[in-house]
Formats: sequence, structure tokens, C-alpha cells
Amino acid sequence: MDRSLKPCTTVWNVNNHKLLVDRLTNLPDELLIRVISLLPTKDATATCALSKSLKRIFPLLTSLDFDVSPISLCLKQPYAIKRFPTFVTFVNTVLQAHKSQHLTKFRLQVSGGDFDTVYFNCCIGSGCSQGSLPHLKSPQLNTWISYPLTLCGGLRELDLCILVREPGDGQLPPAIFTRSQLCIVLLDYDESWFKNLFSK
Amino acid sequence: MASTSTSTLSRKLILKSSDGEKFEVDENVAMQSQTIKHMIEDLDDINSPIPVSIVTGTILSKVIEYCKKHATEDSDSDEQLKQWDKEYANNMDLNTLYYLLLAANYMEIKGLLELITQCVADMIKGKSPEEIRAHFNIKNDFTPQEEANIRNENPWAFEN
Repeated sequence: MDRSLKPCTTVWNVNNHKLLVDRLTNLPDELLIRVISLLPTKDATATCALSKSLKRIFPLLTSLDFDVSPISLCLKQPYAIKRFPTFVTFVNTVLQAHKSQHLTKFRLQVSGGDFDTVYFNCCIGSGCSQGSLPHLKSPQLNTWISYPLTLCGGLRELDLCILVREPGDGQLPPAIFTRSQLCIVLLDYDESWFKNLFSK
Repeated sequence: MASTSTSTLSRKLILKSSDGEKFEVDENVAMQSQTIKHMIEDLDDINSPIPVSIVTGTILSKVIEYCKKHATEDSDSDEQLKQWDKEYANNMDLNTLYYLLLAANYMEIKGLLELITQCVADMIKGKSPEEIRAHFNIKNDFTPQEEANIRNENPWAFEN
């Protein structure tokens, strides 16, 4: 069994005569992928930009977790909705770069988890009339949700939380309902979206 | 080791680390490792030491501590066991976690592997890229231009 380790990247710290060894990138790829796959994809992207060997494993992550939540739903807040296009670009870039067929978890959160509180207290309560949901078109959403379903299999957990502006904006790809190996499907929805889904 | 007992529960095995240290453990403790489980199945004489070739004595003793805790079916609730796991992992320094992770992977101990990978991931979470670099001693092998390109490609990932 070949369990050979990668050559060690070491840094000699002159000040305290201590040998500093890189304890992350020296892990075998298999373990590195396991660790980085446990991170939200935003953190994973930033971490994989730290060195060439980390960048190399980025397309091989086994879990993708996209969360728009740093964006506030109220335009008066610092994290305004106008930053939403940056998030859209981010998801697109990551999905384009992803190369692994072994995606076990896919999570997409396109609304605040505490939507009610944020929306009603911050926007309505404070009289801000410009609070709004991210404007996400149906084809865009479909491309994202379809991605994990196009891989050869292995997807065990699909976690979607999506709030849309127009009832027609959020239809699930039918492929979701034919994937028998999916263990956990978590769906969060707004009412109009839900009605639309089942009126078909 | 002259034990001739045929009872599974009382059988003892000897594990031998890469630096020659020997550990006598109950069979059900050692069987937490799929690798050792497979080795035992192929072994005629279980009284001879089983080599755990890439794991040092220091790390092997910590692995055994974990396996002992998880092999006993005593009154510990899931919650207590989780708490024990948390304290066990929190007491390790980065070097130990690194070698423990390699050991758990080599010895195929699923629970330990999951515990340590999660522990390392938690160290990364909530840190800025520069903090992560310092914490793990990651050498920057990008040119400034390459680094700037990466950041410009994906501004979302680098905003707080």
C-alpha cells in the first residue's frame, strides 16, 4: 500500500530556531479534499487561493455549499442587495471550475435563513421600502440546481432554500424526483413558489 | 502472551508502532480499525505483534485511547461521547492532529477520521486567509500577479 507523503514544505523560523512545517498542504490530497469539503464554499475558495497545491484540489471538492446570507435584504444596510451579482458570478465560476464526479452534498441558500426577522424588522419596521429579494431568473436557478444532478451519482444531500420574486421563477428540475439515491432533500420555499410547483 | 482463550471478548492483541513500541489491547478495541480487522482475518497467529507501520508510539497511544472509549458499551450517552470527543480533539496540538489524521486514515477508523477532519476544518472557519496561512504555516508560492488574478476572479470569496 503506497501511503507515501508529499515532500514537506518547511519554513525555518530564524527568530526562535523552530522548524515550521506546513500542516495543511502536506496532507495527502485525499485528506485535504475531505477537510476543505467541510467548509462553506466561500471559505473553501479563499483557502484554496493560499498556495498552488491547495488551488489544485479546489475542483475536486465533494461538497458545495453556497450561501448568499452576508447580503442584507435591505438597501439601507451595508451589505446591500446590489452585491448580489457578485454572488451569482461566484456560483457560476465555482461550478465551471468543479471537476469531480463525486459530489455528495449540494447546498444552495438564496435567501436569509432568518428571512422573516431580517425582512420585517429591518425593511418594513424601519420604513425602508426598497427591501427586496434577490432577483434570480428561473434559467439561472435551474442551471445551478441541475448541476449536481448531472454528475454520475453519489449525491446524497441536496439542501435548497430559495425565495424568488415571481411565482414562475423557481421551478425545480424534474430530475430531482427521479434520484433514488438522494437521502436528504431539504426544501424551503415561499408560498407562491410552492403553489406554482404543484399546479403543474 | 500465552492466552489460549477462545472468547472474543477476552482476546488480547499486540500492536507494534513504527518505532517499535508495543501496546496490548483488547481485540474489540483494535477492531475499531478496519485495517487491523482485515489484518487479523489473514493472520494465523494472533499472538505475534501486529505492525502498524506508519504510526509512531506517541500517536498510536492516542489512537488507542480513542478506540478504547468507543469500544466500550457502557452507560455513556451520545451526548457524553460527543463531549468526550470534543475534549479529546481540543487537547491536541496541530502536529499531533496532523499525524493523528494520517493514522486514522491509514488505520481506517471512520469516527476518528471524521472527528479530526472536522476539527481541522473548524480551525479554518472564521479565519481570514492571512490568519489561515499563519496558523498552518502555508508558504505562498504564487507570484503577486497570480495572487491578484485569483482575487479579482472571485471577489465574493474574499469579502467579509
